[in-house]
Parts: sequence; structure tokens; C-alpha cells
Amino acid sequence: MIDVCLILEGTYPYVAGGVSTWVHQLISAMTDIRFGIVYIAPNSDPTRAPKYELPPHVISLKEIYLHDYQLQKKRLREPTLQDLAIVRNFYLGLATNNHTLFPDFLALFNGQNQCFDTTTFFSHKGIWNILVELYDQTASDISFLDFFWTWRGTHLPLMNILQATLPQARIYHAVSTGYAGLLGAIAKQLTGSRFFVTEHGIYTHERLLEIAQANWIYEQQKEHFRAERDLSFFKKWWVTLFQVMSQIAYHQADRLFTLYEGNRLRQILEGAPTEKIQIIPNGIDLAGFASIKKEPRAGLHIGLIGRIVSIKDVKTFLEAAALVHRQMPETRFYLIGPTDEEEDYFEECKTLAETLGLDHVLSFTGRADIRDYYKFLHILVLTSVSEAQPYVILEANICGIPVVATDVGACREMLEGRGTEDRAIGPSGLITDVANPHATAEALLQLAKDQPLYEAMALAGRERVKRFYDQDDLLSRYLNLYEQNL
Amino acid sequence: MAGIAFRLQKLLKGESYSDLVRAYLYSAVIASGPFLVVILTLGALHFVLSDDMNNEDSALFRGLIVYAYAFSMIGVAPFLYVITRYLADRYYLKEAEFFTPTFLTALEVIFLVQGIAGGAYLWFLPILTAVKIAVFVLYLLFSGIWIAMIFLSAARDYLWIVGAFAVGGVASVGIAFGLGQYAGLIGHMTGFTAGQALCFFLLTLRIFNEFGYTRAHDYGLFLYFKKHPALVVIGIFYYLGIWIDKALFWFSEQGHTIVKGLQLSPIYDTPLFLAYLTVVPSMAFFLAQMETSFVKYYNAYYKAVRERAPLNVIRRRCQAMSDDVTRQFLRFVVLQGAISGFIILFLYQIADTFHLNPAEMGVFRIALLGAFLQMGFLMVVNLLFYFDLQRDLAKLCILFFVTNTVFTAFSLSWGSASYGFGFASATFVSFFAAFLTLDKRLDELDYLTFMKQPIFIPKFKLEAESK
Repeated sequence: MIDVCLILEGTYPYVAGGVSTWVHQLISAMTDIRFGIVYIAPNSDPTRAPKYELPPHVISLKEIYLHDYQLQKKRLREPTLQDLAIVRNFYLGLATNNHTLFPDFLALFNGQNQCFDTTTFFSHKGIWNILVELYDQTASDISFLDFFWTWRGTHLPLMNILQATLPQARIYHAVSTGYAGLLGAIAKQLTGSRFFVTEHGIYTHERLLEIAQANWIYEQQKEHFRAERDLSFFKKWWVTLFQVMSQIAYHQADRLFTLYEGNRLRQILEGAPTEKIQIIPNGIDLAGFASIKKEPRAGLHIGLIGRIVSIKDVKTFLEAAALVHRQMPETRFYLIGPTDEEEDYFEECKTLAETLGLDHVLSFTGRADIRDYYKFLHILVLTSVSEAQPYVILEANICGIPVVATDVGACREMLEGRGTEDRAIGPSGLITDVANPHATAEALLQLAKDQPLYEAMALAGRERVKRFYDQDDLLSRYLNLYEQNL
Repeated sequence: MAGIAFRLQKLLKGESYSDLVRAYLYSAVIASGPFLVVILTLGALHFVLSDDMNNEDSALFRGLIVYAYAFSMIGVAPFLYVITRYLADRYYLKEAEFFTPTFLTALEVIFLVQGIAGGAYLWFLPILTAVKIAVFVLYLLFSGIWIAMIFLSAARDYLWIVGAFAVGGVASVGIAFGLGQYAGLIGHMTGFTAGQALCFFLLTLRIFNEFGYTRAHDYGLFLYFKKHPALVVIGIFYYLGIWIDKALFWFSEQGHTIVKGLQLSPIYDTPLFLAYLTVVPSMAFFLAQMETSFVKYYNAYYKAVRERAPLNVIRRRCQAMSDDVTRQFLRFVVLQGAISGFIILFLYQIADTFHLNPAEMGVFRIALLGAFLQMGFLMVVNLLFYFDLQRDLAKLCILFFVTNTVFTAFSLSWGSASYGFGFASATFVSFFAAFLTLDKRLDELDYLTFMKQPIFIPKFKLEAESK
């Protein structure tokens, strides 16, 4: 029997990143616990290789694909009028944030009393009638073709989740809401086991950003057809879908964890019960970083550590770098991180760097051992438009490197302190506006020129990370949690 | 199926009266074409030939042609709708270069199947070898003509079909008459076959002309047997259903043995063939009117779906389409009712003209109703094809076949007063079931249009619908 089944969506062990690092630390720190992993991916991909080596106490790895549809041959009972009433009331309830019917709804898709599978759900006359009723109530002047296909498109992956079979475990721990959170809620309903959610970034918020930019979602505006109202009907639908999934997870979860205060507030706004939420930030391995020997280099060395992707807003960094370069031409810039995730974006960044005349002082290192760079970097920059609680701030701070970061996620808390005790340590970096190269450049120049400020921040950073972000400390809180519930 | 409609609609828009008449004429010929040609040719030959042929030869000649006609049609039936569908999809994709190779491939297979079946039958038939050979060729020609017709219909080349039939029919009569003067039955048979060979030649010529010759074979068609097995079922049972009551009569005590293995039942056949003639005008009217008027509503409906209309617009257009179906059916009933009424009024004069005896007259009266209902059934079937309701169609065609078998068997056992009632009640039940099906499907059309879209990625590449 698995002790803790981690439910992961597009992260560990196949995709590198903050969440994956955290999961790997969590698993590695608890060798006495038998872990299972359920990995949710969009499609099956036989060429994919794990990015992390799974420790031996991970005893099962199951993958669930959102967009691989298989024809079931199972013979199911015919849905009754009562079953259809459950479906209908479940959907009507969603309009008023009421999902108390979720357990009954789930039972129609999974378990002994199942009466729907993907094929029957999408072809049943009763389901059609409910769909039409909802359309008439909420969208009666909107393109029905798109209404229908959005319904299909949003529900097809849900069908795979609703019908998923999970390994038996004493604790299900979803490391995000979304499909993973929903799957955890389902596991809890089916098994009665404990269910925890740790949310690093707030799922609905991240999806909202994606959906707002998506151009594959139909907008009637193009047809000159009541543009002002329909502008975002289908986009709203997608957002609502993710909200509902989060809310179901929040309500089914026994405990909720997040990384910092800002996220806690967002969870509450999204409907999470306040009393369930607890903040456990990410920590780092102090000993590992204490061993880094500084090798100061002459001149000023500024780095951005992270994947070269649009969410990191690398272009703002480049523009800020150009401004710094104009005043301090000897400054060197480093972009340290994998470039293969959004190749188009990387190409654009390279072109921009050339255009800005930075090619002699700036380098894209690609995937690299960041410890080598902590030895000599003077300032670390973070221009992200969205972050949760970035490790790089902790790593830089423990190495005595002040950070210039945008005001997103936990950056402000991490650089200025959360509680009073934390605040008393003093700031360990500067906070700037998002997408504002001038502000970033100004902060960089301020740190570069004001030596006493720089020294104070370097000192405060080491102190803060030691006191509040010790990985062993923080992971032991999860270990306690697991042990209490096993 | 949809092919006919677009062409006719264009025709019906033509202002002049002669265009209109032509449109009706086309649809009559295409809908009942082969049947009309055979009946008219046989009728003409009957009048022309009766003098210089003895009764036995005359009956043998007619029997062989009816058999060649009936069995060639049944033999081709499994291919009929599959080919129609395949061509419609190819035509939709504007891939007409597939037509000729598909035609040749289909022809080969059908000649092979029909050749074995027809050859085996004729082998044991106690008639002159020369006649056997002529009938064998005629049998293959008929089969080929049915196939060629599908190809030219798919390309909406109706004028040519009508022309080929007319030329072939006249030639059959003329040459049969001419050769018959010198060689009797063998001459008649060879002559008739030569006329049909001309018809087949003209149709084939047109296919090559229209689509060109690229290569000899294309096997894409056979995938469609796997993909649309219901179409095979529909074809088989529809045509078996049409012939089963006649066949039961041929081989009952009412059957009249011409030679061993070749039986007809004039008491049943003659009034039934006559009754079929009475529905030709209203069928032409219905097909022209419904397929032009109906198709307008049909297209408007799918246009609303495609062009992102709100659901209530889609619903309204669906309602308009249903209303049109009802309207056209009412017109059909009134028109055919009037025709049948007149025929019953002049029953004795008609019986006199066609030398019907009193027993045949009784069958004729009820066959009028049966033919009327069978046409109704055919029309609903035609409409169901528009919505690609293959499962429904298969069930209905099986129902038609089963009821026609069972009821005809009963009517045979009940004696001469009930002859024809089996056919009439079978067509009544089938028409009624078909109409209820159509009504139900139109009622839930929105549901079918959307919810029956495939959820999973289709296995075959060729997915174009003739919608």
C-alpha cells in the first residue's frame, strides 16, 4: 500500500522547474514513506524521459492523459431520470458556487454505480437536454456551434479525470489544483483517504493569464455581433471551469498549503475555506549552499536565472540591461537557464539583445550549474510577470547576493520580510514594477553605486534565509503532517 | 442522393415552361427510369411482336427479360448505396478523377459476381444455347447499366441518362423486331440485348468522356464496405423487399411454369406492373418539388449551424424544414389520391385496354394502394438519406422485406380474394414506420446534428459528407 500518493500535473518527474525541485526534495527527505506518483500529462509521449531519477521508495508511477481518448467497451447501466437530475442540478449549482452534489455527480462516472463513460455522456439525449437548458438560460444569443464545441472541448479531458483509476493510498497529496486537485478530490471521495493540496502558484490565476492571451478561443467580436457582451464568453467559460475545479479541490481537501501570504489571500478569494490554509514556504538546503566558495571577479556581474520563457519577461531584463550598459559599459550580463522550452521566444530574445547592442557583454549560458555563477554574481534580477516563491531568490540571498525582483508572487515577502520578526532583519533586495525596464535598471544602478546599501542587503539576505527558509525545517512540517495522518 | 436536388433546383429556376416540364421529366426518369424503360419496352415489344411469335416463345422472352431485370438489380443492390456514398464523398472533395477507375473496378467485381450467379442459373435452364448466351450478355449489361447510372447521377448528368435509355429502348424494340423477322426468339433476344448494349455503351462513353481515363483501378471503394456496412444492408433488403412478393407468387401454385426453373405469375405481375405506372407522375412531382423546395430549407438549416447562429435560429430553421416535408407529403397524397381515384373510376376501361381478367382487376385495385404506399416509403427513405440515418434506414428496409415476405405468404394462403393485400399491408406498415421515424428524427434533429458528431478521431481519411 502506498502511504502518500502525489498527484502532479505537468511537472515532476518529467518537466524541470520549481515545483519539480520541491517535489524531489520532499520525496528525497522522507525515505521511510512509500510514495506513489500520479502524473497528469496532456498526451502520451513515449519519447519523454524523466528529468529526475526516482528514489527507490517511490513504488508506483501512473500516468493519466487528458487528451488521449479511448473507447471503453464496458457495459454500463442505462442512466435513470434521477441520474440526469443529479447532472442537471450539479451544473445549475455551479452557477451559484454550490458543488455539494459533486460526490453524487462523480458516482455516475466512477465506481460501482457508474452509468456514463465518455461515449455515452457525449451522446446521451438527456445530457443534450441539460446542455440546451443551460444554453437557453445563460447564452441564448451566442453561437451555438461554439457553445457546443466549447462544452465538448472542456469536458473531454474532464471525462478522463472523472473516470481515472488511482492507486490505493492513505494520503493523496495534489501539488496544484486544476486537474490534479480534481483528481485528488475524486480519490478522496472514492477511498475516504486524507487529501491535501499544496498550491505553489495559484492555478486559476495562471490559467487566467494563458486564456486571456489565447487566440484559439472563439470570440464573437470578430463577427460584429454584440461584441461588448460576447467578447469573452468562451474565455470566461474556460476560466470558470478552472475555478470550479479549484473550488471542488478546496472543499474536498482536508488541509491546504501554499507558499506565501499573497497566495493565501488569492485562495481565499477563489473560495478556499480560510481555516484550512497554512503557509509553508519553500526552503533550500543551507549546508549545500554554505559550501559555495565565493570567487569575486572584477567589474559588475548581473544575472537572471530561469528558463528563457515569456512568463519570465526576459525582454524587460534585456532592455534594463541596455540601460545599465549605457552608464556602466563594463557590466556583464548572464542569462542562465534552459532555452529550449519556448524556442521562438528565445530567438526573439537573442535578436533583441543584438539590436540593443549587448552581444559583447551578455551571454545566454543555456542549462548550466548555477552554483558556478553564485560564486561571482553581484546582483540577481527577476523580471517575471508571474512567480510563486522563486528558489533563486533564496539561493542568491544565502550566497550574499542581493536581488532586484518584480513585485510578483512572494518576491516582496522574501526580500522585505513577512512577519515583524522577519521584517526586522531588513531588506535583502529591491522590488520593482512589472514590465518596467527603467525601474529595474534604476534599482540595479542604485545597488551598484551604493556600497553600504549593497553590503547591508547581502547580510540581511543570508540572515533571513537561515532563519526562515531552512529546507530541513520546512520539509519536516510536511513529514509531521504525513506521520500524523498515516 | 443530394446530387439530384441541386441540379433540379437550378432547372426549376429556369423561367420557361418547357424547362419545368423537362425537370419533371428528368426526375421521373431518374427515379423510376430503369423500371419505366423495361416496362415500356416490354409493352412495345408485346404489341409489335405478338403477331409473329407463338405464345410459348413470347412468354419465354418476357420471362427471361423480367428475370434478367429483377436479378441483376438484386445482385447489384449490395453495391448500390455504397458506391453512391463513395462517389458523393469523392465528388464533394472534387476528386472526379477517381470516378473512371472506380467505375471499372466496380464493373469488374460485379461482372464477376453476376457472371457466376447468372451463368450458373442459365447453365441449368432448358433453353437453346444461343438464347442462353444472349440472356447472359443481357444480364451483365443490365448490371453494368445500373452501375453506370449511379456514376452519371453522381455527376448530375441526367440528360445523358435519359437519352441513353431512350436510344437503348428504341433500339431494343427496333432491332428485336427486325431480327425477329428472320430468327424468331433468338433474333428477338439478340436484338433486345443489342439495344441495351447500345445504352450501356452510351453511358460508359459518357463516363469516360466526363471523367477522363487516368488508371484502371481504384480500391478505395472497398474501404467503404467496411466503413458503412449499413449501406450494404439497406441495398440488399430494399431490393429484396421490392421483389420478394413477386418471387413468392412466381413460385407458388399461382406460378406459371414457362420452362423448368423459369416461372412467372401473370395474375399478379401484370396488375402490379400496371399499378407501378400509375405512381410515376406523382413520384416525379414529389421528387422534383420536395428535393428542390426541401433542399432549400435543408441547406438553410445547416448554414445556420455552420455560421454560428444562436440555437433558436437553428430551431426555427429546423421547424421550417419539417413544415415543408409535411406540406410536400400532403400535396403528394392529394395528387396521387386524385390519380388513383380517376383510375378506379375508369377501372373497366383500363381493364379492357390491357386485357385484365376479373381476378387481375381485383389485384390491380389493391395494388394501386400498395404502389402508392411504396412510393411514399421510397420518398421517406430518400429523405432519411439526407440525414445519413443509416441505422434507421437499415431497420426500415429489413422491416419492408420481412413484412412483404410474411404478409404476401399469408395472402397467398388465403386465396385469390386477398392477392395483393399482403403487398399493400406490408407497404402500409413500412411507410408508416418510416414516416414515424422521419418525424421523430426531424424532431430531435438538433440533437442528432451535434451530439452524433464523432468524439474520437475518425479512422478513415475520407470523411467528407455530401451535406
